Amino acid sequence: MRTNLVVGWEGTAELEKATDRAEETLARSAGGDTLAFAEIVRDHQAMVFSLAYHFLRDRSLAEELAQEVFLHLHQNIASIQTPAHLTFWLRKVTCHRSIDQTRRQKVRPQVSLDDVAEPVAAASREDPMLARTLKRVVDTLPEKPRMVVLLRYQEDLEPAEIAEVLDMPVNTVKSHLRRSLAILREKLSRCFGEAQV
Amino acid sequence: MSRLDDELRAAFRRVEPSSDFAERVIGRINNRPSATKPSLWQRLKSFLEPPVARWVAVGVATSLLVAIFAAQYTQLQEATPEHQAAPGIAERQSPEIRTDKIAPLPEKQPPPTIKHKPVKHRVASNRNLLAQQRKERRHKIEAEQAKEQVMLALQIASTTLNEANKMVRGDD
Repeated sequence: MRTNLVVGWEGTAELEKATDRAEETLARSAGGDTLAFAEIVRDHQAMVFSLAYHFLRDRSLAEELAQEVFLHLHQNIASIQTPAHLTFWLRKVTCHRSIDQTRRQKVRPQVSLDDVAEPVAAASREDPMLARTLKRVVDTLPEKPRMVVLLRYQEDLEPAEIAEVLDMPVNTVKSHLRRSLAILREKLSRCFGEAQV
Repeated sequence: MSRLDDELRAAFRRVEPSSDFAERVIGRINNRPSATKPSLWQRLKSFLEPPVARWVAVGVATSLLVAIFAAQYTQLQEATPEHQAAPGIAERQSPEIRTDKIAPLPEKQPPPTIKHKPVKHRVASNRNLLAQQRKERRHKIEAEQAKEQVMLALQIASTTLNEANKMVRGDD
């Protein structure tokens, strides 16, 4: 999970303070405080929007879906117990809604693995071309494996955490990851050469 | 950690939505029609909560109603035994009959129009009939009065309830 690494007593104290603040915001929001809810939205909008955007590849659709997720959260805010539960809830709802949206509207780009453009130049670190190619290759994966890859690399979740979010066995998550990475490696090695990936 | 992992992390870095995203979410929440209409239980619960004024109003109205109905019931109970008592017993208790020293009539009285009866009996039965009619008339008047009182009590109770209802609505 993505966390800020803080060392020492000061860091621990800061982390505790942040947790307390998040709990207080959650409690105020559950009590009907709209400002507190807006704070929650601001704290989590990047996570929710990114999951939807990287999955759907459509900015407006992703924004719409993210808004729906927060509206749903507003209706169910009383059932959220802790800030960790809130993050888990948002991830879960966003993932399931994104998968449903793709299945309903067939918005997933139907890109064949062989149609992915071959880059003309060798890739360097943080290469936008490589990033684009990677995204397009990931887009060719089926919904569940694609979401597994997203949760693994966008949210830095462990397979057990991904299994909880997507309601699937840990071994299935691991096999999805293994197979997806094998596909990605195969394609990228064709594109950029074996040594670089 | 392989290069592929790093590249994937870089490719799927979090991105921010439009700057007014949170404001739009809040706007949608505020503009949304009250889909969560309170259930009957919630409405009842909110009614049972303070302020105390509504409880006072309800208490006053209830006690007033109970008092009025208790008074009416007592009055009716007092009138009923006399009215429902058997005619023979009523006759025996009636002072008019006792002063006449006439034996009480059998329970099944013959109709007053029957002829071929001794004159003594006919006079007695006529007197009894008149007394009974007088009593019935008196009871009828009393019943009318009681009815009017009950109607008045109901009107008062209704007015009190309306006022209490207004007070409760005024509190909301």
